Amino acid sequence: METRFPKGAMKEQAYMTELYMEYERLMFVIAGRYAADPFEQEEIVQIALVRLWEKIDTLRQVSPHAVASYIAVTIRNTAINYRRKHRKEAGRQVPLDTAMEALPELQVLPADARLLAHENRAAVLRAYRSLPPEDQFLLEGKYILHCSNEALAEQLNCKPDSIRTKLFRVRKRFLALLQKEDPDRG
Amino acid sequence: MVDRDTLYEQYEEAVLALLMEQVADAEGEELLQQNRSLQADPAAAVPAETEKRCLDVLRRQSRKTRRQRTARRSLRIAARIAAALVSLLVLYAIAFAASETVRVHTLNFLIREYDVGTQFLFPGDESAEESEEFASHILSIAEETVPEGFRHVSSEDNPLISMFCFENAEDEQITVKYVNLEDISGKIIIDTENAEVIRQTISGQEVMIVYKDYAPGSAQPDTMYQIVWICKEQQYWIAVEGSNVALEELLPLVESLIV
Repeated sequence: METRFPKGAMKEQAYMTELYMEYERLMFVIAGRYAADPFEQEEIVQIALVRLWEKIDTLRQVSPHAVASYIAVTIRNTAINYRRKHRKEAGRQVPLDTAMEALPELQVLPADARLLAHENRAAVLRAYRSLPPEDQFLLEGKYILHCSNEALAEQLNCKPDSIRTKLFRVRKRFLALLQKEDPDRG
Repeated sequence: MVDRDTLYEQYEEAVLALLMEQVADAEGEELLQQNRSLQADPAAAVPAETEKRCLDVLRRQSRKTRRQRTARRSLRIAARIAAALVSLLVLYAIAFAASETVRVHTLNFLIREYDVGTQFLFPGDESAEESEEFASHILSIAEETVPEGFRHVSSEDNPLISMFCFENAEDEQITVKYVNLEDISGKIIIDTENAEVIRQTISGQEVMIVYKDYAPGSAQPDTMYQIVWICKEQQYWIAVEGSNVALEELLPLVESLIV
């Protein structure tokens, strides 16, 4: 994979400054979706910058697409946590368990490789975006930000043990949506 | 052996990870496009003050990271030094316990340090040995050349100074002081208050003669001569003091010590 920024030699501050200047507007636009107040947006971006700093090694190794995605996910994740912390999002605690009640029982995973062979990014993205925001939050936290179950539990205000169950159910739901998007799969 | 459910779960995990990578890639493409549009849109510009504050956050984070790394490095170095010191201490403790010689040297070292205060020498040190040898040489010269009737009554000898006292039947005293100046930094004070001070050359050596005439009835002797010189070549300092002893009686001793 190529990376847009030189590795190793570039000092971390210089790297992060360049990254910030490159994606500054995008960061504020995403933060603006979660907070109307410009001061809150700034605070969200600042917290996210510190979190991104801690992932410099990862950012340096991935493609520009992945960097942009990582930044967006970090801003979103930070914004959601920020709002949750400030209790401005009453009732937005991840209602995964209640949502699960309506989950149809299905054999999601075909035991063949067609799922991976027929890679259709557009369909995958559509299926992913059909998921409730809370499910996306959990999947992004787990598979893009690589948060531990403990960290996710803290963010979602639940026990670490229940994160495993929640993830299991979200995965099933995502794959079910993917089947709908692309009936050939499975 | 891993059971079927666990394998399925691991398979699901792997599939989800791949799917999420596709999601990230697809989203990233859209985001890059959106970012390009935003760059071209003047209305999307971030206020300069806000931008400055965000860059300040990065500067602070940079300083914090440097501090943390420095602290970690210092801690590692300190730990290594401590480990080395502990090892040395353990080895020394073993040697101390096992060897009588080490014990004796250690105790002598401590005693000398306590007495003198500035000189850290083990007995047996080469320069200390030479100094002791020279001091005894001075004593033997002095014993031979002190005026008639004087006899050696006491000595004081330590790594810094050697002092030999001679007395006669009339309680007149001659004292010879010798200081080895090698590796010594400090000062020697000669009491010249209300004294007559003469500089003179004897046998090619410049000496200072200090004469004090004390008031009758004081606790001091009636007269006191101090003849002092420094031998720069051999790095020593000598003083010959005579209480109630005439200068003429002291000069032969001085000459013999200079030679």
